[in-house]
Amino acid sequence: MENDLSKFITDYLADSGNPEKLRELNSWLDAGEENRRLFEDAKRVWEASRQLPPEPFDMQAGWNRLNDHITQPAPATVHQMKPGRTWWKVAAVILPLIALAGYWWMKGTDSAWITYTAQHTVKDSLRLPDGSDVFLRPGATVQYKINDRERSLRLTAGEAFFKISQDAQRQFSIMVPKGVVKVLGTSFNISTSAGFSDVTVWDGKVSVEGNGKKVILTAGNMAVVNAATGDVKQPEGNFAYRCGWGNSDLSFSNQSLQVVLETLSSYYRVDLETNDQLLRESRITVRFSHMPLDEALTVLAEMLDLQVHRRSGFEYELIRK
Amino acid sequence: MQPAGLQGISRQESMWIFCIITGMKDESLISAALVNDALRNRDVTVFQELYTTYSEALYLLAFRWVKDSSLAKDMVHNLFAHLWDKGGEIVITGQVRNYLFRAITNQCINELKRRKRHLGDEILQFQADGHSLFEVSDYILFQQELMRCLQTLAPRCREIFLLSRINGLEPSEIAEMLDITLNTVYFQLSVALKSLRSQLAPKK
Repeated sequence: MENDLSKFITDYLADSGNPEKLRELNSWLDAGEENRRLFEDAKRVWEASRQLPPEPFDMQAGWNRLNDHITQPAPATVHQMKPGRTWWKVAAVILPLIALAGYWWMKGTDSAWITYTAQHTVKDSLRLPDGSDVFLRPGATVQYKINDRERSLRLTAGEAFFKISQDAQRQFSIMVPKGVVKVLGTSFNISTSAGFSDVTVWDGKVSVEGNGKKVILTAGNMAVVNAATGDVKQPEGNFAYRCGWGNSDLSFSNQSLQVVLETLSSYYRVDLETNDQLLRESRITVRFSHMPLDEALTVLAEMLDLQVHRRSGFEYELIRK
Repeated sequence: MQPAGLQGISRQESMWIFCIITGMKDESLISAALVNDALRNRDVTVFQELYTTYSEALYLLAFRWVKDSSLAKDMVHNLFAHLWDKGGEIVITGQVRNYLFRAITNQCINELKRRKRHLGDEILQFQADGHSLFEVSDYILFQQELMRCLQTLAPRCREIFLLSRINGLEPSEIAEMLDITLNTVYFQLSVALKSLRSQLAPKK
């Protein structure tokens, strides 16, 4: 029974769209109460694990931060002020102090890191002082320091697409956990999560360093940096499509339709599906540059001889003619 | 000095282990009266005890509402900082756990409103309905238990499972990233799931 369960879990949970396998699963579930219970338990674990945060709670760091807060002098003196009588005395002292602090702050930004977190719900963009553009997915956070001598940026969370302006004098370096990406002027995508950061190049050349190893990437190449060890791996293939969300240019080279549909779905914010396993595995090379969804679907349908059925406002199903 | 078995474990994984060791505290030792006294008398020892007992659960709950781990961390920090700053003005009645779960939820709602983000049905239901407290407590306990059980998986198996579930990668992407076959990914996922299921299934 455990073996049956294993087979159905891998078939169903990882690929729940296949009607053939769904039928097999249903007859197995109907065969006994025990089967149903096993499956429900497994499904609970599967669903619950999706809700886990990307990083565990670091209690020590949390306590240290809190300890800093509680060992500060209590803000009680502020409450003892008599409003209306002495506030101007306080203001007379504090306002110039604030002004002075502001001046030092402005003056100091030349060498300070500036933090920016993506606000927009779809795609946020940021123009850096050197003219480079950064496009950020929701939740992505960058810190940057750009001055006459250096151009540095840290991607601390999330995914971002970079178009770095040419400047032979100042290399642009991007730090990800345990890795460094160095460029002169080019465009590329970086996605950072708790375990890995991956770097995919759209055009130009990029170097990725981690754990003493350095790889040079050109258009379509991807490198993956392990956030724990700094090991750098370079999988085979053309991954240019991973940059598509950032520059509105989705380019696939010998990719499975599965990957194409997932990428298009995420980009156009729709649901593109097919139940046809063979179709999903067929590999295509295609490019959608600044193209509206309707046109992209027409291109796909022509290439693979498909019909596109619109099932609701955002759901489409692809069927072979 | 780390025990031999811990050597070579990555930073992320050792953090996961850390939260297990500190995450298991006996809540029953912390009563509302004890906390009220400690806040009034600024008793750091009891305050720290309160923090180590509840901070992880509160982080998981905050993450459930705001879906952003660094914001969830800030929410936990702000709640405890607020408790400390308000000191004697706060009087907790009933169970400490319930009070804290409500407090962090209200704080998350305020933050989401401030950021003009959408408030999900779940969070509003929890705010309005006393019964959903049980569901939420169950949810947190299950998540904590799940994190503990993840430690029992073989490292490779755990890595693949986390990539799939937490990072949301498709099996095909995991295969590509780790340079292994798709079948291996499916196999490891099923091994992980079977092991977690048998450990987490309700005991009869």
